[in-house]
Amino acid sequence: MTQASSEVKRREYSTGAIVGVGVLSVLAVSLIAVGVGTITISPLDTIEVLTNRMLPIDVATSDIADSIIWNIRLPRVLAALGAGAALGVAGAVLQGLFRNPVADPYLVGLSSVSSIGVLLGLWLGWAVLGPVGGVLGGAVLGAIGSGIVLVLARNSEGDPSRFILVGVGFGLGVSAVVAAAAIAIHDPRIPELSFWFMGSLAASTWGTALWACIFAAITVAVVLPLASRVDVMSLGTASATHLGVDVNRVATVALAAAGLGVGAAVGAAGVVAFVGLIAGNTARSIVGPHHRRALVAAAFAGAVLLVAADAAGRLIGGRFEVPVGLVTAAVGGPYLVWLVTRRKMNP
Amino acid sequence: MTALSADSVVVELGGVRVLTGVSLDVNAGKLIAVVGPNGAGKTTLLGCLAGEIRPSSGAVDLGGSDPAALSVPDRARARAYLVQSDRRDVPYDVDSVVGFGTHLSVLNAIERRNLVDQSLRTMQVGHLADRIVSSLSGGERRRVAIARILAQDNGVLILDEPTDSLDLAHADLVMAVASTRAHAGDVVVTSSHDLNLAAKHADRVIVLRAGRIEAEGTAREVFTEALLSDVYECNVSVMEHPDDGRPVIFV
Repeated sequence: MTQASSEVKRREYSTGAIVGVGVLSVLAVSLIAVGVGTITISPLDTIEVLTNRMLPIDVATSDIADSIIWNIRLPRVLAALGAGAALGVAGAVLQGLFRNPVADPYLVGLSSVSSIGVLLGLWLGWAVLGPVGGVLGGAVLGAIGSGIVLVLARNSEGDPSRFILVGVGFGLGVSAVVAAAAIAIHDPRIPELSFWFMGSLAASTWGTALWACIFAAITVAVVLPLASRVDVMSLGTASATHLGVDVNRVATVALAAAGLGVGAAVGAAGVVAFVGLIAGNTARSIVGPHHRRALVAAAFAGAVLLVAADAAGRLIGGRFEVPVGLVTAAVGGPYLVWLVTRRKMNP
Repeated sequence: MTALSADSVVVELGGVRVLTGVSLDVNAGKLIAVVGPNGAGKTTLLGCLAGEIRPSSGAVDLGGSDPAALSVPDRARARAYLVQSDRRDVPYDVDSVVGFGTHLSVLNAIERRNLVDQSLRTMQVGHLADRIVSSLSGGERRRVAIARILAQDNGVLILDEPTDSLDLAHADLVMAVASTRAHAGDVVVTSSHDLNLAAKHADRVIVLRAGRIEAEGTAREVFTEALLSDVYECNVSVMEHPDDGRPVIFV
Protein backbone atom coordinates (compact mmCIF):
# COMPACT_ATOMS: atom_id res chain seq x y z
CA MET A 1 0.00 0.00 0.00
CA THR A 2 1.28 3.45 -0.84
CA GLN A 3 1.80 5.67 2.19
CA ALA A 4 0.29 9.16 2.28
CA SER A 5 2.88 11.76 1.29
CA SER A 6 2.86 13.33 4.78
CA GLU A 7 3.83 9.98 6.27
CA VAL A 8 7.01 9.38 4.27
CA LYS A 9 10.03 11.59 3.88
CA ARG A 10 10.04 13.90 0.90
CA ARG A 11 12.73 14.06 -1.72
CA GLU A 12 15.93 15.58 -0.35
CA TYR A 13 17.74 18.33 -2.26
CA SER A 14 21.44 18.94 -1.80
CA THR A 15 22.53 22.19 -0.15
CA GLY A 16 24.34 23.04 -3.38
CA ALA A 17 21.10 22.75 -5.37
CA ILE A 18 19.27 24.92 -2.82
CA VAL A 19 21.98 27.58 -3.01
CA GLY A 20 21.96 27.42 -6.83
CA VAL A 21 18.20 27.85 -7.12
CA GLY A 22 18.25 30.49 -4.38
CA VAL A 23 20.94 32.60 -6.08
CA LEU A 24 19.14 32.43 -9.42
CA SER A 25 15.83 33.40 -7.79
CA VAL A 26 17.44 36.31 -5.95
CA LEU A 27 19.12 37.57 -9.14
CA ALA A 28 15.91 37.28 -11.17
CA VAL A 29 13.64 39.01 -8.64
CA SER A 30 16.25 41.70 -7.96
CA LEU A 31 16.68 42.46 -11.64
CA ILE A 32 12.93 42.92 -12.03
CA ALA A 33 12.55 44.84 -8.74
CA VAL A 34 15.26 47.35 -9.66
CA GLY A 35 13.19 48.34 -12.68
CA VAL A 36 9.90 48.79 -10.81
CA GLY A 37 8.78 52.26 -9.65
CA THR A 38 7.39 55.57 -10.85
CA ILE A 39 9.95 55.39 -13.64
CA THR A 40 10.12 51.91 -15.12
CA ILE A 41 13.52 50.63 -16.18
CA SER A 42 13.90 47.51 -18.28
CA PRO A 43 16.09 44.61 -17.06
CA LEU A 44 18.36 45.22 -20.09
CA ASP A 45 18.91 48.86 -19.09
CA THR A 46 19.59 47.72 -15.53
CA ILE A 47 22.20 45.24 -16.74
CA GLU A 48 23.84 47.96 -18.83
CA VAL A 49 24.03 50.34 -15.87
CA LEU A 50 25.43 47.63 -13.61
CA THR A 51 27.96 46.61 -16.28
CA ASN A 52 29.04 50.19 -16.66
CA ARG A 53 29.36 50.64 -12.90
CA MET A 54 30.89 47.35 -11.85
CA LEU A 55 32.98 46.17 -14.78
CA PRO A 56 35.76 47.94 -16.67
CA ILE A 57 33.52 48.07 -19.74
CA ASP A 58 32.14 51.32 -21.13
CA VAL A 59 28.45 50.94 -22.04
CA ALA A 60 26.27 53.84 -23.10
CA THR A 61 23.56 54.45 -20.47
CA SER A 62 21.26 57.33 -19.61
CA ASP A 63 22.26 59.44 -16.59
CA ILE A 64 18.73 59.29 -15.19
CA ALA A 65 18.64 55.50 -15.31
CA ASP A 66 22.13 55.34 -13.82
CA SER A 67 21.20 57.67 -10.99
CA ILE A 68 17.90 55.93 -10.18
CA ILE A 69 19.41 52.47 -10.23
CA TRP A 70 22.70 53.18 -8.48
CA ASN A 71 21.58 55.75 -5.91
CA ILE A 72 18.01 54.67 -5.12
CA ARG A 73 16.82 51.28 -6.38
CA LEU A 74 19.91 49.13 -5.91
CA PRO A 75 20.53 50.10 -2.26
CA ARG A 76 16.84 49.54 -1.66
CA VAL A 77 16.85 46.08 -3.23
CA LEU A 78 20.07 45.17 -1.41
CA ALA A 79 18.58 46.31 1.91
CA ALA A 80 15.49 44.20 1.19
CA LEU A 81 17.70 41.19 0.38
CA GLY A 82 19.64 41.50 3.64
CA ALA A 83 16.60 42.23 5.80
CA GLY A 84 14.53 39.51 4.10
CA ALA A 85 17.27 36.89 4.48
CA ALA A 86 17.67 37.71 8.18
CA LEU A 87 13.90 37.59 8.81
CA GLY A 88 13.61 34.31 6.88
CA VAL A 89 16.40 32.60 8.80
CA ALA A 90 15.11 33.99 12.08
CA GLY A 91 11.64 32.64 11.31
CA ALA A 92 13.01 29.17 10.58
CA VAL A 93 15.15 29.26 13.74
CA LEU A 94 12.21 30.31 15.93
CA GLN A 95 9.94 27.66 14.38
CA GLY A 96 12.59 24.98 14.90
CA LEU A 97 13.65 25.94 18.42
CA PHE A 98 10.12 26.28 19.76
CA ARG A 99 8.58 23.55 17.56
CA ASN A 100 5.98 26.13 16.62
CA PRO A 101 5.16 26.63 12.92
CA VAL A 102 3.51 30.01 13.51
CA ALA A 103 6.58 31.52 15.19
CA ASP A 104 7.76 34.68 13.41
CA PRO A 105 10.07 37.49 14.56
CA TYR A 106 7.12 39.90 14.54
CA LEU A 107 4.63 37.55 16.19
CA VAL A 108 6.97 36.70 19.10
CA GLY A 109 7.77 40.37 19.77
CA LEU A 110 11.40 40.30 18.59
CA SER A 111 10.90 42.91 15.85
CA SER A 112 9.22 45.30 18.27
CA VAL A 113 11.96 44.97 20.88
CA SER A 114 14.51 45.66 18.14
CA SER A 115 12.68 48.84 17.17
CA ILE A 116 13.67 50.33 20.55
CA GLY A 117 17.30 49.95 19.49
CA VAL A 118 16.57 51.37 16.05
CA LEU A 119 15.00 54.48 17.60
CA LEU A 120 17.88 54.94 20.04
CA GLY A 121 20.45 54.27 17.32
CA LEU A 122 18.91 56.89 15.04
CA TRP A 123 18.32 59.43 17.76
CA LEU A 124 21.62 59.18 19.60
CA GLY A 125 23.89 57.94 16.84
CA TRP A 126 22.85 60.03 13.86
CA ALA A 127 25.66 62.56 14.17
CA VAL A 128 28.30 59.83 13.80
CA LEU A 129 26.56 57.01 11.96
CA GLY A 130 23.65 58.58 10.09
CA PRO A 131 20.89 56.09 9.15
CA VAL A 132 23.31 53.20 9.81
CA GLY A 133 22.87 54.03 13.51
CA GLY A 134 19.36 52.55 13.29
CA VAL A 135 20.67 49.27 11.86
CA LEU A 136 23.42 48.95 14.46
CA GLY A 137 21.12 49.96 17.32
CA GLY A 138 18.49 47.50 16.14
CA ALA A 139 21.04 44.68 15.90
CA VAL A 140 22.30 45.28 19.44
CA LEU A 141 18.80 45.48 20.96
CA GLY A 142 17.63 42.53 18.85
CA ALA A 143 20.40 40.31 20.20
CA ILE A 144 19.74 41.43 23.78
CA GLY A 145 15.97 41.34 23.32
CA SER A 146 16.11 37.71 22.22
CA GLY A 147 16.48 36.93 25.92
CA ILE A 148 12.97 38.31 26.46
CA VAL A 149 11.64 35.95 23.78
CA LEU A 150 13.28 33.03 25.59
CA VAL A 151 11.61 34.07 28.85
CA LEU A 152 8.21 34.43 27.11
CA ALA A 153 8.64 30.97 25.54
CA ARG A 154 9.49 29.38 28.89
CA ASN A 155 6.55 31.04 30.58
CA SER A 156 4.26 29.65 27.88
CA GLU A 157 5.00 26.12 29.14
CA GLY A 158 5.17 24.64 25.65
CA ASP A 159 1.77 25.98 24.58
CA PRO A 160 2.36 27.35 21.04
CA SER A 161 -0.79 29.47 20.99
CA ARG A 162 -0.04 31.07 24.33
CA PHE A 163 3.53 31.85 23.23
CA ILE A 164 2.28 33.66 20.13
CA LEU A 165 -0.54 35.49 21.92
CA VAL A 166 1.83 36.75 24.61
CA GLY A 167 4.38 37.70 21.92
CA VAL A 168 1.82 39.63 19.86
CA GLY A 169 0.51 41.50 22.90
CA PHE A 170 4.01 42.28 24.12
CA GLY A 171 5.15 43.36 20.64
CA LEU A 172 2.18 45.64 20.01
CA GLY A 173 2.68 47.30 23.38
CA VAL A 174 6.37 47.93 22.71
CA SER A 175 5.66 49.17 19.16
CA ALA A 176 3.10 51.64 20.50
CA VAL A 177 5.58 52.99 23.04
CA VAL A 178 8.34 53.27 20.39
CA ALA A 179 6.00 55.03 17.94
CA ALA A 180 4.84 57.44 20.65
CA ALA A 181 8.48 58.11 21.55
CA ALA A 182 9.30 58.72 17.88
CA ILE A 183 6.49 61.31 17.72
CA ALA A 184 7.55 62.91 21.00
CA ILE A 185 11.17 63.22 19.89
CA HIS A 186 9.89 65.18 16.89
CA ASP A 187 13.13 64.90 14.96
CA PRO A 188 12.98 64.97 11.13
CA ARG A 189 15.68 62.27 11.03
CA ILE A 190 13.39 59.82 12.86
CA PRO A 191 11.16 57.89 10.42
CA GLU A 192 7.42 58.48 10.25
CA LEU A 193 4.85 56.50 12.20
CA SER A 194 4.20 53.96 9.45
CA PHE A 195 7.85 52.79 9.60
CA TRP A 196 7.33 51.48 13.15
CA PHE A 197 4.17 49.57 12.28
CA MET A 198 4.29 48.79 8.57
CA GLY A 199 7.92 49.11 7.56
CA SER A 200 9.50 50.96 4.68
CA LEU A 201 12.59 50.59 2.54
CA ALA A 202 12.20 54.02 0.93
CA ALA A 203 15.04 55.58 2.95
CA SER A 204 17.55 52.82 2.14
CA THR A 205 21.15 53.88 1.61
CA TRP A 206 24.23 51.89 0.62
CA GLY A 207 25.19 52.03 4.30
CA THR A 208 21.96 50.56 5.66
CA ALA A 209 21.90 47.98 2.86
CA LEU A 210 25.47 46.87 3.48
CA TRP A 211 25.01 46.54 7.23
CA ALA A 212 21.71 44.69 6.85
CA CYS A 213 23.51 42.19 4.59
CA ILE A 214 26.49 41.90 6.95
CA PHE A 215 24.25 41.13 9.94
CA ALA A 216 22.19 38.67 7.87
CA ALA A 217 25.44 36.89 6.95
CA ILE A 218 26.51 36.80 10.61
CA THR A 219 23.12 35.34 11.59
CA VAL A 220 23.42 32.59 8.98
CA ALA A 221 27.05 31.89 9.90
CA VAL A 222 26.17 31.47 13.59
CA VAL A 223 22.97 29.41 13.26
CA LEU A 224 24.04 27.03 10.48
CA PRO A 225 26.57 25.12 12.66
CA LEU A 226 23.76 24.67 15.22
CA ALA A 227 21.39 23.16 12.63
CA SER A 228 21.90 19.49 13.51
CA ARG A 229 21.38 20.25 17.21
CA VAL A 230 18.14 22.10 16.45
CA ASP A 231 17.09 18.96 14.53
CA VAL A 232 17.70 16.80 17.61
CA MET A 233 15.69 19.27 19.72
CA SER A 234 12.59 18.23 17.76
CA LEU A 235 12.52 15.16 20.03
CA GLY A 236 11.75 17.42 22.99
CA THR A 237 13.96 19.07 25.58
CA ALA A 238 14.49 15.97 27.72
CA SER A 239 15.41 13.58 24.89
CA ALA A 240 17.64 16.17 23.21
CA THR A 241 19.47 16.74 26.49
CA HIS A 242 19.92 13.00 26.96
CA LEU A 243 21.43 12.87 23.47
CA GLY A 244 23.99 15.51 24.45
CA VAL A 245 22.42 18.72 23.18
CA ASP A 246 22.88 21.60 25.61
CA VAL A 247 19.40 22.90 24.88
CA ASN A 248 19.74 26.17 26.81
CA ARG A 249 23.02 27.07 25.17
CA VAL A 250 21.81 26.25 21.65
CA ALA A 251 18.59 28.24 22.16
CA THR A 252 20.42 31.22 23.66
CA VAL A 253 23.07 31.42 20.93
CA ALA A 254 20.66 30.78 18.04
CA LEU A 255 18.14 33.29 19.35
CA ALA A 256 20.79 35.96 19.95
CA ALA A 257 22.03 35.46 16.38
CA ALA A 258 18.47 35.62 15.05
CA GLY A 259 17.88 38.76 17.12
CA LEU A 260 20.99 40.36 15.68
CA GLY A 261 19.73 39.81 12.13
CA VAL A 262 16.15 40.77 12.93
CA GLY A 263 17.29 43.95 14.69
CA ALA A 264 19.39 44.98 11.70
CA ALA A 265 16.45 44.16 9.41
CA VAL A 266 14.17 46.41 11.48
CA GLY A 267 16.79 49.14 11.26
CA ALA A 268 16.89 48.80 7.49
CA ALA A 269 13.22 48.08 6.71
CA GLY A 270 11.14 48.92 9.80
CA VAL A 271 8.75 46.49 11.47
CA VAL A 272 7.71 44.05 8.72
CA ALA A 273 5.53 41.12 9.74
CA PHE A 274 5.16 37.55 8.45
CA VAL A 275 8.35 37.31 6.30
CA GLY A 276 9.86 34.77 8.72
CA LEU A 277 6.55 32.92 9.01
CA ILE A 278 6.15 32.49 5.26
CA ALA A 279 9.84 31.94 4.43
CA GLY A 280 10.44 29.41 7.23
CA ASN A 281 7.38 27.30 6.46
CA THR A 282 7.79 27.50 2.69
CA ALA A 283 11.43 26.46 2.97
CA ARG A 284 10.57 23.52 5.21
CA SER A 285 7.73 22.39 2.97
CA ILE A 286 10.07 22.29 -0.04
CA VAL A 287 13.39 21.03 1.37
CA GLY A 288 12.15 19.11 4.41
CA PRO A 289 12.64 19.60 8.16
CA HIS A 290 16.46 19.25 8.36
CA HIS A 291 17.67 22.68 9.43
CA ARG A 292 20.95 22.67 7.54
CA ARG A 293 18.92 22.83 4.34
CA ALA A 294 15.82 24.61 5.71
CA LEU A 295 17.81 27.55 7.14
CA VAL A 296 19.60 28.15 3.84
CA ALA A 297 16.35 27.88 1.90
CA ALA A 298 14.57 30.19 4.37
CA ALA A 299 17.28 32.85 3.91
CA PHE A 300 16.75 32.85 0.15
CA ALA A 301 12.96 32.65 0.49
CA GLY A 302 12.91 35.61 2.89
CA ALA A 303 15.17 37.66 0.62
CA VAL A 304 13.08 36.96 -2.47
CA LEU A 305 9.83 37.61 -0.58
CA LEU A 306 10.86 41.01 0.81
CA VAL A 307 12.31 42.25 -2.49
CA ALA A 308 9.14 41.14 -4.29
CA ALA A 309 6.86 42.65 -1.63
CA ASP A 310 8.70 45.97 -1.77
CA ALA A 311 8.51 46.02 -5.56
CA ALA A 312 4.81 45.13 -5.41
CA GLY A 313 4.22 48.03 -3.01
CA ARG A 314 5.82 50.42 -5.49
CA LEU A 315 3.92 48.90 -8.38
CA ILE A 316 0.52 49.01 -6.64
CA GLY A 317 0.88 52.45 -5.09
CA GLY A 318 2.55 54.34 -7.93
CA ARG A 319 3.73 57.67 -6.52
CA PHE A 320 2.26 56.89 -3.11
CA GLU A 321 3.83 53.52 -2.60
CA VAL A 322 2.18 50.94 -0.34
CA PRO A 323 4.37 50.20 2.74
CA VAL A 324 6.18 46.88 2.37
CA GLY A 325 4.73 45.63 5.66
CA LEU A 326 1.20 46.02 4.33
CA VAL A 327 2.07 43.83 1.34
CA THR A 328 3.62 41.12 3.54
CA ALA A 329 0.63 41.35 5.90
CA ALA A 330 -1.80 41.00 2.99
CA VAL A 331 -0.07 37.72 2.10
CA GLY A 332 0.99 36.63 5.58
CA GLY A 333 -2.31 37.20 7.36
CA PRO A 334 -4.30 34.72 5.27
CA TYR A 335 -1.30 32.37 5.30
CA LEU A 336 -1.30 32.43 9.11
CA VAL A 337 -5.02 31.68 9.18
CA TRP A 338 -4.50 28.79 6.76
CA LEU A 339 -1.57 27.48 8.79
CA VAL A 340 -3.48 27.52 12.05
CA THR A 341 -6.73 26.09 10.68
CA ARG A 342 -5.53 23.66 8.01
CA ARG A 343 -2.16 22.31 8.99
CA LYS A 344 -1.06 20.24 11.91
CA MET A 345 0.94 22.44 14.27
CA ASN A 346 4.21 20.67 13.45
CA PRO A 347 7.25 22.71 12.39
CA MET B 1 36.00 -2.09 38.64
CA THR B 2 32.30 -1.35 38.86
CA ALA B 3 31.25 0.62 35.78
CA LEU B 4 28.13 2.17 37.28
CA SER B 5 27.19 2.40 40.92
CA ALA B 6 25.03 4.20 43.42
CA ASP B 7 26.15 4.60 47.03
CA SER B 8 23.58 5.45 49.72
CA VAL B 9 21.65 7.65 47.31
CA VAL B 10 18.90 9.80 48.79
CA VAL B 11 16.66 11.90 46.55
CA GLU B 12 14.09 14.41 47.73
CA LEU B 13 11.85 16.00 45.12
CA GLY B 14 9.46 18.78 46.14
CA GLY B 15 9.97 17.96 49.79
CA VAL B 16 9.10 14.30 49.27
CA ARG B 17 11.75 11.63 49.83
CA VAL B 18 11.69 9.48 46.67
CA LEU B 19 14.82 7.39 47.26
CA THR B 20 16.21 6.46 50.66
CA GLY B 21 19.77 5.17 50.91
CA VAL B 22 19.84 3.16 47.68
CA SER B 23 23.11 1.42 46.87
CA LEU B 24 23.74 -0.79 43.87
CA ASP B 25 26.48 -1.86 41.47
CA VAL B 26 25.94 -2.42 37.76
CA ASN B 27 28.77 -4.43 36.25
CA ALA B 28 29.45 -5.17 32.62
CA GLY B 29 28.27 -8.57 31.46
CA LYS B 30 25.06 -8.79 33.47
CA LEU B 31 21.64 -7.36 32.71
CA ILE B 32 20.17 -5.66 35.77
CA ALA B 33 16.39 -5.13 35.98
CA VAL B 34 14.85 -2.74 38.51
CA VAL B 35 11.24 -3.63 39.30
CA GLY B 36 8.63 -2.40 41.73
CA PRO B 37 5.15 -0.92 41.96
CA ASN B 38 4.20 2.52 40.69
CA GLY B 39 5.87 5.26 42.68
CA ALA B 40 8.59 2.96 44.02
CA GLY B 41 11.33 5.24 42.64
CA LYS B 42 12.48 3.26 39.58
CA THR B 43 12.51 6.25 37.21
CA THR B 44 14.20 8.45 39.82
CA LEU B 45 16.87 5.81 40.43
CA LEU B 46 17.59 5.46 36.71
CA GLY B 47 17.60 9.26 36.38
CA CYS B 48 20.27 9.40 39.10
CA LEU B 49 22.35 6.70 37.42
CA ALA B 50 22.07 8.64 34.14
CA GLY B 51 23.16 11.89 35.83
CA GLU B 52 19.90 13.67 35.06
CA ILE B 53 18.82 13.85 38.70
CA ARG B 54 21.33 14.99 41.31
CA PRO B 55 20.99 13.05 44.61
CA SER B 56 20.24 15.02 47.76
CA SER B 57 22.95 12.92 49.40
CA GLY B 58 25.00 9.88 48.49
CA ALA B 59 27.00 9.40 45.31
CA VAL B 60 26.68 8.01 41.81
CA ASP B 61 29.75 6.86 39.93
CA LEU B 62 29.82 6.33 36.16
CA GLY B 63 33.20 5.17 34.93
CA GLY B 64 35.00 7.13 37.66
CA SER B 65 32.96 10.34 37.32
CA ASP B 66 29.85 11.78 38.87
CA PRO B 67 27.53 11.78 35.82
CA ALA B 68 25.55 14.78 37.11
CA ALA B 69 28.77 16.82 37.17
CA LEU B 70 29.62 16.08 33.53
CA SER B 71 28.75 18.54 30.76
CA VAL B 72 25.64 17.67 28.74
CA PRO B 73 27.63 16.33 25.73
CA ASP B 74 30.10 14.40 27.94
CA ARG B 75 27.21 12.80 29.78
CA ALA B 76 25.70 11.67 26.47
CA ARG B 77 29.09 10.25 25.43
CA ALA B 78 29.32 8.35 28.75
CA ARG B 79 25.91 6.66 28.61
CA ALA B 80 22.77 6.20 26.53
CA TYR B 81 19.55 6.92 28.42
CA LEU B 82 16.07 5.98 27.28
CA VAL B 83 13.25 7.88 28.98
CA GLN B 84 9.67 6.71 29.31
CA SER B 85 8.30 8.72 26.38
CA ASP B 86 9.40 10.89 23.46
CA ARG B 87 7.38 13.62 21.78
CA ARG B 88 4.75 12.23 19.41
CA ASP B 89 4.88 15.00 16.79
CA VAL B 90 8.41 14.51 15.46
CA PRO B 91 8.43 15.62 11.77
CA TYR B 92 11.57 13.68 10.77
CA ASP B 93 11.83 10.29 9.09
CA VAL B 94 12.82 7.25 11.14
CA ASP B 95 16.27 6.98 9.53
CA SER B 96 17.10 10.58 10.54
CA VAL B 97 15.85 10.15 14.09
CA VAL B 98 17.93 7.01 14.63
CA GLY B 99 20.83 8.97 13.12
CA PHE B 100 20.36 11.63 15.82
CA GLY B 101 21.88 9.04 18.16
CA THR B 102 25.20 9.40 16.33
CA HIS B 103 25.36 13.21 16.26
CA LEU B 104 28.19 13.31 18.81
CA SER B 105 29.99 10.35 17.28
CA VAL B 106 33.58 10.57 16.10
CA LEU B 107 32.95 7.83 13.51
CA ASN B 108 33.21 8.65 9.82
CA ALA B 109 30.09 8.88 7.62
CA ILE B 110 30.26 5.26 6.42
CA GLU B 111 30.71 3.89 9.94
CA ARG B 112 27.83 6.02 11.16
CA ARG B 113 25.66 4.77 8.30
CA ASN B 114 26.49 1.17 9.21
CA LEU B 115 25.72 1.84 12.85
CA VAL B 116 22.32 3.35 12.01
CA ASP B 117 21.50 0.45 9.65
CA GLN B 118 22.50 -2.08 12.29
CA SER B 119 20.38 -0.33 14.94
CA LEU B 120 17.38 -0.21 12.59
CA ARG B 121 17.76 -3.92 11.86
CA THR B 122 18.24 -4.87 15.51
CA MET B 123 14.97 -3.19 16.50
CA GLN B 124 13.19 -4.47 13.38
CA VAL B 125 12.32 -0.98 12.12
CA GLY B 126 14.37 -1.02 8.90
CA HIS B 127 11.19 -1.21 6.82
CA LEU B 128 10.00 2.02 8.48
CA ALA B 129 13.19 3.97 7.67
CA ASP B 130 11.46 6.43 5.30
CA ARG B 131 8.36 6.90 7.43
CA ILE B 132 7.79 10.15 9.34
CA VAL B 133 7.96 9.37 13.06
CA SER B 134 4.71 11.20 13.87
CA SER B 135 2.86 8.76 11.58
CA LEU B 136 3.99 5.69 13.55
CA SER B 137 2.11 3.78 16.23
CA GLY B 138 3.20 4.08 19.86
CA GLY B 139 4.98 0.73 19.75
CA GLU B 140 6.79 1.57 16.52
CA ARG B 141 7.93 4.90 17.97
CA ARG B 142 9.21 3.07 21.04
CA ARG B 143 11.32 0.73 18.90
CA VAL B 144 12.67 3.72 16.96
CA ALA B 145 13.63 5.42 20.22
CA ILE B 146 15.48 2.27 21.34
CA ALA B 147 17.22 2.01 17.95
CA ARG B 148 18.37 5.61 18.47
CA ILE B 149 19.76 4.67 21.90
CA LEU B 150 21.62 1.71 20.37
CA ALA B 151 23.09 4.05 17.73
CA GLN B 152 24.71 6.09 20.52
CA ASP B 153 26.97 3.03 20.87
CA ASN B 154 28.68 4.06 24.08
CA GLY B 155 28.66 0.85 26.13
CA VAL B 156 26.38 2.00 28.95
CA LEU B 157 22.62 1.62 28.47
CA ILE B 158 20.13 2.95 31.01
CA LEU B 159 16.64 1.98 29.85
CA ASP B 160 13.55 3.28 31.63
CA GLU B 161 10.57 1.05 30.83
CA PRO B 162 11.89 0.03 27.38
CA THR B 163 9.01 -2.40 26.81
CA ASP B 164 6.35 0.25 27.38
CA SER B 165 3.76 0.24 24.50
CA LEU B 166 5.29 -2.89 22.93
CA ASP B 167 3.48 -6.08 21.99
CA LEU B 168 4.61 -9.44 23.39
CA ALA B 169 7.06 -10.26 20.62
CA HIS B 170 8.70 -6.85 20.51
CA ALA B 171 8.86 -6.54 24.29
CA ASP B 172 10.69 -9.88 24.32
CA LEU B 173 12.94 -8.63 21.49
CA VAL B 174 13.89 -5.50 23.43
CA MET B 175 14.79 -7.41 26.57
CA ALA B 176 16.70 -9.97 24.50
CA VAL B 177 18.68 -7.16 22.85
CA ALA B 178 19.41 -5.64 26.28
CA SER B 179 20.58 -9.03 27.51
CA THR B 180 22.74 -9.61 24.43
CA ARG B 181 24.37 -6.20 24.81
CA ALA B 182 25.05 -6.89 28.50
CA HIS B 183 26.57 -10.30 27.80
CA ALA B 184 28.71 -8.73 25.05
CA GLY B 185 30.30 -6.51 27.70
CA ASP B 186 28.06 -3.46 27.90
CA VAL B 187 26.74 -2.05 31.16
CA VAL B 188 22.95 -2.38 30.99
CA VAL B 189 20.31 -1.51 33.57
CA THR B 190 16.61 -1.41 32.83
CA SER B 191 13.41 -0.78 34.74
CA SER B 192 10.33 -2.83 33.99
CA HIS B 193 6.79 -3.55 35.06
CA ASP B 194 6.90 -6.89 33.26
CA LEU B 195 8.16 -9.30 35.88
CA ASN B 196 8.04 -12.29 33.51
CA LEU B 197 10.34 -10.61 30.99
CA ALA B 198 12.63 -9.54 33.83
CA ALA B 199 12.66 -13.14 35.06
CA LYS B 200 13.44 -14.43 31.57
CA HIS B 201 16.21 -12.02 30.59
CA ALA B 202 17.72 -10.28 33.62
CA ASP B 203 20.74 -11.74 35.35
CA ARG B 204 19.92 -9.81 38.52
CA VAL B 205 16.76 -8.10 39.67
CA ILE B 206 16.37 -5.31 42.19
CA VAL B 207 12.98 -4.86 43.82
CA LEU B 208 12.24 -1.29 44.90
CA ARG B 209 9.48 -0.34 47.30
CA ALA B 210 8.82 3.21 48.51
CA GLY B 211 12.31 4.34 47.56
CA ARG B 212 14.21 1.51 49.23
CA ILE B 213 15.70 -1.72 47.90
CA GLU B 214 13.45 -4.46 49.19
CA ALA B 215 15.29 -7.41 47.66
CA GLU B 216 18.14 -8.09 45.26
CA GLY B 217 19.37 -11.24 43.54
CA THR B 218 18.50 -13.58 40.71
CA ALA B 219 14.85 -13.81 39.67
CA ARG B 220 14.57 -17.28 41.25
CA GLU B 221 15.89 -15.92 44.53
CA VAL B 222 13.80 -12.76 44.60
CA PHE B 223 10.51 -13.51 42.85
CA THR B 224 8.73 -15.39 45.61
CA GLU B 225 5.00 -15.29 46.20
CA ALA B 226 5.45 -13.87 49.66
CA LEU B 227 7.73 -11.03 48.61
CA LEU B 228 5.83 -10.04 45.47
CA SER B 229 2.43 -10.22 47.21
CA ASP B 230 3.80 -8.02 49.96
CA VAL B 231 5.48 -5.48 47.62
CA TYR B 232 2.63 -5.23 45.11
CA GLU B 233 -0.10 -5.51 47.78
CA CYS B 234 -2.08 -8.14 45.92
CA ASN B 235 -2.14 -11.93 45.68
CA VAL B 236 0.68 -12.95 43.40
CA SER B 237 1.23 -16.56 42.30
CA VAL B 238 4.58 -17.85 41.14
CA MET B 239 5.12 -21.07 39.18
CA GLU B 240 8.12 -22.59 37.49
CA HIS B 241 8.43 -22.29 33.72
CA PRO B 242 8.32 -25.80 32.17
CA ASP B 243 11.29 -25.09 29.88
CA ASP B 244 13.91 -23.70 32.20
CA GLY B 245 12.35 -23.47 35.62
CA ARG B 246 12.46 -19.66 35.80
CA PRO B 247 9.67 -18.10 37.84
CA VAL B 248 6.44 -17.29 36.03
CA ILE B 249 4.40 -14.63 37.77
CA PHE B 250 0.65 -14.07 37.49
CA VAL B 251 -2.14 -12.57 39.53
